[in-house]
Amino acid sequence: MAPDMQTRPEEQGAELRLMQQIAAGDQAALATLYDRYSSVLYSVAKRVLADTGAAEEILQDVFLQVWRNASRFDPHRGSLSGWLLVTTRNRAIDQLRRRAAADIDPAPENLAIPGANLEASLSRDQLMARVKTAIGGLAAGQRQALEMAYFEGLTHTEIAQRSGEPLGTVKTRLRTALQVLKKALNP
Amino acid sequence: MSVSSHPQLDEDFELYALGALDGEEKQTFESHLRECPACAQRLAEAHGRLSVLAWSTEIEPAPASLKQRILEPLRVRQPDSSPAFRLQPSPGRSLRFLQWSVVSLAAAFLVLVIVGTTIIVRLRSQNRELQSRLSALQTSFQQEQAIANNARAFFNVWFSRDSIKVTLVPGSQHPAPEGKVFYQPRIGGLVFYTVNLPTLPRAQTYQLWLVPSLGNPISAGIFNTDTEGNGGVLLPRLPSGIKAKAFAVTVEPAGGKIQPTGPKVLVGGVS
Repeated sequence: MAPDMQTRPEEQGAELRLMQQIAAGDQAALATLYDRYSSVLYSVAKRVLADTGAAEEILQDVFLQVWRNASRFDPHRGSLSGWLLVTTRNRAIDQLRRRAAADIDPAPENLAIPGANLEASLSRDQLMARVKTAIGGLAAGQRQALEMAYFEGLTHTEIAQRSGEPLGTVKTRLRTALQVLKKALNP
Repeated sequence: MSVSSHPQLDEDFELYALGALDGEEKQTFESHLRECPACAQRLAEAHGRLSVLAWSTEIEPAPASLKQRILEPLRVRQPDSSPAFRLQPSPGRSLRFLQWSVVSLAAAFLVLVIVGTTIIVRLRSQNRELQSRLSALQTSFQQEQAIANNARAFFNVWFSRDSIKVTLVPGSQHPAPEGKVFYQPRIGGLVFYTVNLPTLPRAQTYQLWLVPSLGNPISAGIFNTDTEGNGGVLLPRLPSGIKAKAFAVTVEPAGGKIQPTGPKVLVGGVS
C-alpha cells in the first residue's frame, strides 16, 4: 500500500496554518480547504452512495466537523487529507449500510490520521495516475473484490455471495490485491 | 488469531479497515484491539494507507451550490462554539419556563438543573422502564447514584454542542400542544418532553419517532400524558450515529408499533 514516508515539513506547516486560521473562525480558510478536497470527497461519497443528495450531506457533516474541531488538529499525528478521505468514505459506507459507526473509531477527533502520506509527496495528478495504474495492474477478480470492499463496504462473505465465488477464493483475492498494491505503490 | 496474539501483517489490519472481516474473525480482531494500543495505532495507519484508494475513482466537482450551503451557516457559528440553534420559533406561552435565552453560562446551567430535575421526577411516574429502575433503586444506596447518572446523561444531551434541538408543533389546536427533542446523535441520546397533549384512552399511546435521513422511522419510545397534558421520553435506547431528518409523535395502539400507523400529532424537521 502507500509508502510510509514522512509528510514533507512544508506540507505539514501549510496544513497547520490553514487549520489554525479555520480554528480562528476564518471562513476563507475553510473555503480554501473545501476547494482543495471537495471534488475527491464528493466523488468518493457519491460513488459509495450513488446519490448526489446523500453525498452532499456527507460533505456538509465532514466540513462542519472540521470547522468545529479545527483547533484540535495535530499534524504530528498524521495528515488532514487522510482524515478527510477516511472519514468521508467510512461515513458514506455507514450510511449505505445503515449501520452505526464502527466500534473502533478510525477517525479520531484530532482530524489527523497516520499512514496517508503518499499524497504529501506527489502532485494530485501523479497520485491519481499512480493509484489507477496500481489498481489497473490487479487481476480482474482481485480488483472487483477490492472495489466491492472499499466502495461498497462488503465483507468477505458478502463479496462471495455477490460474486458467486467460494469464500476462500475471495479471501485470497482480497489479501493478494492488498499485497500487490503495496508493492506497486511502494516500489 | 487469538484474542491475545497480535495481527502480524499490514494486510491483516487493512482487511479490517476495509470492513471485510465478519463473524468470529471480526470479533476476535476487535477484542484484541480494545486491549492493545499498539495494534489500534497500526489500524489507524492501515486506514491511512487505504485512503489513497479514493483517488482511483473518477473525480467530479461537487455541485456549485454545495460550497455556499456549507459556508453560509458558519457565518453565525464560530468554531468550537455551542450552536444552540432553534429550528422553529416556539409559539408557546405554554413553554415559558423554557424560553430562556442564555444570559450567562451559570444562569443557563442553573435553569437546566431545575428543568432537568423536574422532567426526571415527572417521567418517573410515566415511563415504565424508568419507574421500575427507580423503584428498585429506592431501596438501596444506589438510587442517588442512578439519578445522578441520569441527570448527567440528560445534561450531556441537553448541553452538548453537537446536540440538535427540534421543536415539534401541530396544527391550530388551542392551547397548542408542543414538544421539544434534544438529540445527540453521536451517543444516541435523546430527551423529549411535551405539553398540552390530550390524555389518550387506555387502549392508545403516544409514540415518538426518529425519522432518519435514510430508512424507516425508528421508535424512540412510547409515552402517555398526565391530566395536564405533560409527558415525555427520557434517554430511550437508540443506536448511535443515526442522522435525524425529523422527529414525529403519532397515536398508536397501547404498547406501540414497530412502524408508525396512526395519525401524526406533532412533527418537527431538522434543517
